[in-house]
Amino acid sequence: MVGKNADKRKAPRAKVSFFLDCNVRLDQPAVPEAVIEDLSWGGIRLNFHKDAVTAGLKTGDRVMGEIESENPALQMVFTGKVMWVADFLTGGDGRRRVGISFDEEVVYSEVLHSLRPQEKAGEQK
Amino acid sequence: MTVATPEFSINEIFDPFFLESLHKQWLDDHLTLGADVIDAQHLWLAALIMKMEWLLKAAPSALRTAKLSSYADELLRFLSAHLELEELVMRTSEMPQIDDIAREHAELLVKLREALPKDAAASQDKMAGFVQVVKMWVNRHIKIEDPRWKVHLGKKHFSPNDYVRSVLKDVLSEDESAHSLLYEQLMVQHEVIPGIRKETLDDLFLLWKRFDVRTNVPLIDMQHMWLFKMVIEVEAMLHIAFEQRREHLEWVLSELLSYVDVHFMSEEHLMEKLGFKEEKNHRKLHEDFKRTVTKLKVEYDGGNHHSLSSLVTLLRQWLLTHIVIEDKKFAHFCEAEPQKSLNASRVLIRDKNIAIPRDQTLIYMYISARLRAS
Repeated sequence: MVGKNADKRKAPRAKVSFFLDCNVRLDQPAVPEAVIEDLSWGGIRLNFHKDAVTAGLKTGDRVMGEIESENPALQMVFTGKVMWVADFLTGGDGRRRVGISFDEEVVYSEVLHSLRPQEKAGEQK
Repeated sequence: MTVATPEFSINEIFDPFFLESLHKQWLDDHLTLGADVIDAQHLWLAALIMKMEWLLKAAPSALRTAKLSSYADELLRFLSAHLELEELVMRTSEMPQIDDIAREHAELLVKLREALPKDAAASQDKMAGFVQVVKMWVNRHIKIEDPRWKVHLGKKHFSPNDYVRSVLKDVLSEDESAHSLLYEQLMVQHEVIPGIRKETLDDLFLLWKRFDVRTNVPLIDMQHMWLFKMVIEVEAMLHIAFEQRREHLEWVLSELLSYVDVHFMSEEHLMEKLGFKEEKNHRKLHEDFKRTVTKLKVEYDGGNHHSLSSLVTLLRQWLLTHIVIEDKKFAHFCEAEPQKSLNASRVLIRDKNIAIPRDQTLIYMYISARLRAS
């Protein structure tokens, strides 16, 4: 939980959950409802049922989807690449957790913009 | 590869609107014991229970099921650790019948683990029952059981706060834990968004609700909220003697004026891109305002201190009136094609590299949630 593992990613995690009221729908592959576990400037961590469609998903695969929410500051269409896949069991239910890195062309939502890492003084772009 | 069940995310607890409700319930239920280490743990338990209650009211979904399971796991883990810690403190203080109390705690944990539905998706009623039982027990524990121990300490002339800290100083490193941070922010600083006073948020909410200037273009709404917040802060400073407020006021004013530039640029750019017919008139209003501000600023820099008060008054009145009357016209225009406005604003953020500070997003999420609930 708290401070258990050092965060190795370039972009910081959201310190306050901005993704309480949203879900993700993947269109490629077709996953009608995925749970957002984490959201950062560079990508998203999802978890969903492991079924016939999602079982074939592997590192390097291309994905396309949408963050759905009543709040317009959260809504966002994205494309990206699967960076890692991990399977786990919860209550006897087989589930899949994936880390997705967003493509550079993705137009970010306002909430994601607020998670953009701040450049330090003197740091080159 | 098989890994453990999903980790519980502490981030969700720090949602500002949730914190506000938690704070209110804590005070309404009189849950403060007076030993901050213990209170911080009780607060965390209350937060987990309240989160589960909120989730149970939401529509069933995979998201809800996964979150309920994570919260239930964390609740049992934390309750077990909390009871163990309290038993240690009670034993050290030679609390009578501590063995009976410890046995009751152990029995409770067994019962709760048995009551926890194994398949959260299929047993929503059972999960609701579980939450109800935990809530009743925790309330009783905080309001009846722990005060007995506090009385016991009082008889021995110990301060509960000092006593708990002295017993636990070698056992726990509490200060960095999530529940201690929550307690510090909510019960010591009384802030639902760190660094922003509760009164400022209340004033902002009332202003926002009263004038209803939502454009549903998050960038513009966030900027308007931020400007309102700055105006409220400047307004609050008018009640302080000039010499005391001067330095801070100068700083806030300079921040406000810089931000006004960013906001005007954003609005003008969006109006142009979206083909808003009154764009030229609106731009002229912005320019007139900037000219007046520059004139007052030059006078102030030249030694006329009265110009600062005039500047504050102008900013407050002009910004409020402008947003409420002029920007509302643009808000109506945006309502016609919300998706188009949203897309244009996001391209603007990217192309002009407009910064959205985290506090702005937090305020936006907080006000939006509070509006939905009101």
